[in-house]
Amino acid sequence: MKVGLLTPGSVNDNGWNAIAYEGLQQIHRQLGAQISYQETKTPAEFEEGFQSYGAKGFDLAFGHGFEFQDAALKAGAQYPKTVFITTSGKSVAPNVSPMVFELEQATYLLGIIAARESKSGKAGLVGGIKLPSIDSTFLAFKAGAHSVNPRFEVKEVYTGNFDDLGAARLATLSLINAGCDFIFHQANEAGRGVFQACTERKVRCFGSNKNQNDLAPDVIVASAVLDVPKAFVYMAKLVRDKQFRPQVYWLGMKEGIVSLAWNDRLEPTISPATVEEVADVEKQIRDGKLEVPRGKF
Amino acid sequence: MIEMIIQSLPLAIFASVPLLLAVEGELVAERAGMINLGIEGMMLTAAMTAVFAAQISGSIIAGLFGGIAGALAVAAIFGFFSIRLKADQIVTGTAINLLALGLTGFVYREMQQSAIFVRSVPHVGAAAENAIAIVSWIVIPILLSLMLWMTAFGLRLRACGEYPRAVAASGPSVAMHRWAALVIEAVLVGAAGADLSLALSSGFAENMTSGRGFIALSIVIFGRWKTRGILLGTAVFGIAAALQYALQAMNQSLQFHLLLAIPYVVTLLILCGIAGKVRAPESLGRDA
Repeated sequence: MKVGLLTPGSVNDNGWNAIAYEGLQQIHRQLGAQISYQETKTPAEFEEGFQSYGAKGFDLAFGHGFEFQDAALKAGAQYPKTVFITTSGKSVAPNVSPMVFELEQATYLLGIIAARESKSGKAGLVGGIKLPSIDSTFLAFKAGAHSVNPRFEVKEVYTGNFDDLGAARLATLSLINAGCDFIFHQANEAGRGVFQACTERKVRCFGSNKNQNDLAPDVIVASAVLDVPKAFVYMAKLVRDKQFRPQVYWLGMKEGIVSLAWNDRLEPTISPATVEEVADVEKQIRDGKLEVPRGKF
Repeated sequence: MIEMIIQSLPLAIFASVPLLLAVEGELVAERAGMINLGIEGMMLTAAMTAVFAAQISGSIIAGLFGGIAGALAVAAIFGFFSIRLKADQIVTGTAINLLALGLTGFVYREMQQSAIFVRSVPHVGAAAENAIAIVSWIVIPILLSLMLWMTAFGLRLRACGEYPRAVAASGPSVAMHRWAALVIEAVLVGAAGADLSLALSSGFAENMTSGRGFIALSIVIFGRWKTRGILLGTAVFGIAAALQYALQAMNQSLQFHLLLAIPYVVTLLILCGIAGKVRAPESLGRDA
């Protein structure tokens, strides 16, 4: 089996691209596939990259971002024996599909925890830039909170970037001053500023994307975790086992890509009823009985 | 509303310390006739070297000196090109910014897994943060004013910014005075970087200065190259920055993009409204 990956940036970025490269390496380790990756910057390079994998008879080629959709459709028509997968997106063709991560399922649960455990009746959200994917996780957080308490107040603050830890701390302190006693962030690197503010004011908060519980073990109650490498392996297994069907692949809790990670140290401070309720809702999501709202993008 | 302002005020005071220290440093440099556009890169470098020093020694004081050392290294590059080789200051400063952003980013990515960036940095407590704010807002401005306007050294320094040939004709070396101003700037900007990564935030992040150096440059201009002016400019910017987060937290219907622009707009308006002709040091940006 031969698997290729196109990334829009350096695989050493310790973020979006690094995590895709980690997925590619796990495909190599777990499935013994021959792997290759290319860093591509422009739409022309996306096409060349996909075409090179198609021409070399690769079984599977990933394009790591919604911007790879057009190139995937074009190369897909040229090389019908190769499966082209884009990370997020909508475009589907007989051998082209997007995989979409449903982190919203976990942030919905965080919303429930906040609404149940908050004493002030207010939670705060700190965002870096208002990207559709970030907005969507906030939307689900609010929906989760409102599902148990329609009058629960959720305040939103954006800092305008993902680098400025000081600004994220300032934004968080403003939310705490406004009465929020639970904070959730989508500020990537600047999230450390959020945890600093929560630690100094002893306000409980949540981690995002990765299991961040160790970054501030005294205040982070739980993290919404997204396991991107596992998603890559999941798709590679489908292609290997000839189980691939052209469709949008929603990858969430059911597939084990998204999960809620409690901080063992703080879980005892949460009421058992809440823990039970969250486990119950999680099961409903896993069984497909509950559909978590998400933004349209 | 009043309550919101009262709550935001303490946040503004300590959150604008890195900006304030940078503004104070740039004031000295510009008074001596140098525009250091590389101040952003200088602060970013200092933020990183401060983390290195603090992590290796386990002490925040060492972190402060580490930050100053990093800023001094950048100042040495700037001074070598702009004072010694008389290269264009704007070009040199721009190059320094690109160099610093690239270099710190490279080091950070390469050492991502090392203990220096993984382990949490030594903690600056609330009391220490207040002390830093008092020093930055009160002690340093007084010292700088005394130095610039009450001493012979300060007079010669300002003369280097106004009419360097007169300084040279009367004996003292313009280059030495500009080097001295650059060292003072590096100490202050180094402290700004250290405060940014060790007090205001906990650790280094790529491009974590996010434009503070450039804002410092404009505040020095808007502050009319005067201590009072730059203090007012920084205060207005800092309070507006803290206040807009409080506004965001309070009002969900307002566009946050507009709120994020408030500090810039308010600072611009207030400082433009203050009477007084803008008069830059006559030889600012020119070689001696």
